[in-house]
Amino acid sequence: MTISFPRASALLPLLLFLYGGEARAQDTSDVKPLRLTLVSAVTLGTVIPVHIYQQNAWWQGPRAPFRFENDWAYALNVDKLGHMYAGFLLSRMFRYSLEWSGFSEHTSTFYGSVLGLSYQMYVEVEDGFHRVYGFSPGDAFFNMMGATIPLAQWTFPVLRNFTLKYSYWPSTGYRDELKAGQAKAFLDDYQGTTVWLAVDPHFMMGEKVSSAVPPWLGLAFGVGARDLNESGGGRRQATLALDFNFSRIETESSVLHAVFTLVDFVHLPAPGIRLDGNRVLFGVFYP
Amino acid sequence: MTRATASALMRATRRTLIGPVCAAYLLLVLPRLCTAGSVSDAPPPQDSLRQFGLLFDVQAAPHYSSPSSYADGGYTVSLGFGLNFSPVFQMTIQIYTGREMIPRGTAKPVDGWLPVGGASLEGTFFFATGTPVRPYAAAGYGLYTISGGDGYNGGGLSLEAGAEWDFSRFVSLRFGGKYDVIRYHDPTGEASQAVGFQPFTLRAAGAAVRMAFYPDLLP
Repeated sequence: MTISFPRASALLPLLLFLYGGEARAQDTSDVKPLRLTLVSAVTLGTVIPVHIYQQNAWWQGPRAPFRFENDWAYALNVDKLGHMYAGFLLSRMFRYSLEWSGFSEHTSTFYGSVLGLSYQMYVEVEDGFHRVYGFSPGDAFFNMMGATIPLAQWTFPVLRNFTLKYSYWPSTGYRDELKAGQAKAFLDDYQGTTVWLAVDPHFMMGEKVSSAVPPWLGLAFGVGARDLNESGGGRRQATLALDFNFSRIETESSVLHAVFTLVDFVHLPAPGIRLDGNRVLFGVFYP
Repeated sequence: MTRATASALMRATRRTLIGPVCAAYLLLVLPRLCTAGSVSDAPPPQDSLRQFGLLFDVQAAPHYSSPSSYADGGYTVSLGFGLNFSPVFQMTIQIYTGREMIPRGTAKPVDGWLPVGGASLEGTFFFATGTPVRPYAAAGYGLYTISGGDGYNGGGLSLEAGAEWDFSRFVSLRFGGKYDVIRYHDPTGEASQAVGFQPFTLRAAGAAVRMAFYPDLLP
């Protein structure tokens, strides 16, 4: 059974007196109620436990009147890139879920970004009531940038050759030094985190070169930091490495394609060159 | 060249070049990148521009604060998102970061270049629609915090007027003058008790440069 879904503009009647827009193209969504229910249930079943986890890990301290707190120096901006990645990841996951539920690619992309950004901003507003954290405009900037990447990729197709990836390995510096004896959350372990901008370079190559390079092989530029002290200390790392785009592998199996798509959110170990403070390293890097 | 000279040269280069290069990139290169090779290269008729749709923007606003405000001046940078309802009206939520110079010797317990953060809801009305350069007037209400010590929470109005230039289907650039009136208080009461901090009203006048992206995307 299928039902049609109301257009978003219909939800804004109070503002329609200012609406001077032309008629839009007909939405091609063909929503499947069972799948949409399942997606909603899984979303709620994920958001609630994650809220409880965050409540225990971050928001346990004393509450305070809502306020803003700039924290640009906190983790040498790796935290900001982490926020961007999280916004991107959530928006894409919501988009895939909505598409699977029968919404058109266009609608799914739009609402995926809206939902991803909404969740990120809810976390930021909760931080705003914490005595120590506060609402970080910097975090919000990068949430917005990450959540809107899928929209930008829709509007400017050339951007679909770029994506964000993540790699993580628990760091001893975070566990044994920075947060020794305190509550820990892997999302805060920026010493074990590298955020990558991955590029599928085939769009820049000529046809001859492009056909010689495997479609799943790409490049990634990663940024991380080590020896952080949460007040601006530490050293940065920048890495240029090979990257694997599994979703470029053609397959008839939709399950396999879904697995490839998910794996592509992570940068897997690959050879590269790394600037680590003042040192230059060659090797297979992870994270 | 000694290491100290090289370091000083690097620092000077960073200070003098990075800002202008970033500004030039934002103002000159990015719009062209955004409009090059896109799915909708062909410019639409002018009267179909800026209909109902999504909107993102980045804005920079240096300002001068009146001496009675206990501040000398500062700057904000903001990212915004919202909806363009029609050629005559749009609303955005702006997230601000920046700094405010609080001079030494004022009633406040901390001074110097203090971080400012905030968020506001802003509405813009356009006049002379259907032309590439549209005059506008904007008003917003925001919540702000000046960090330092326990921080000072504030809330107030901002007014802005200027002109917006639609130089492509997806991108607009606007220049305007801005005036803010923000009332700050001590949220915990501790600074008031400890050093006699008094609530104050910051009045700031400045300029605003904004680049807006209209991705032509709707559900």
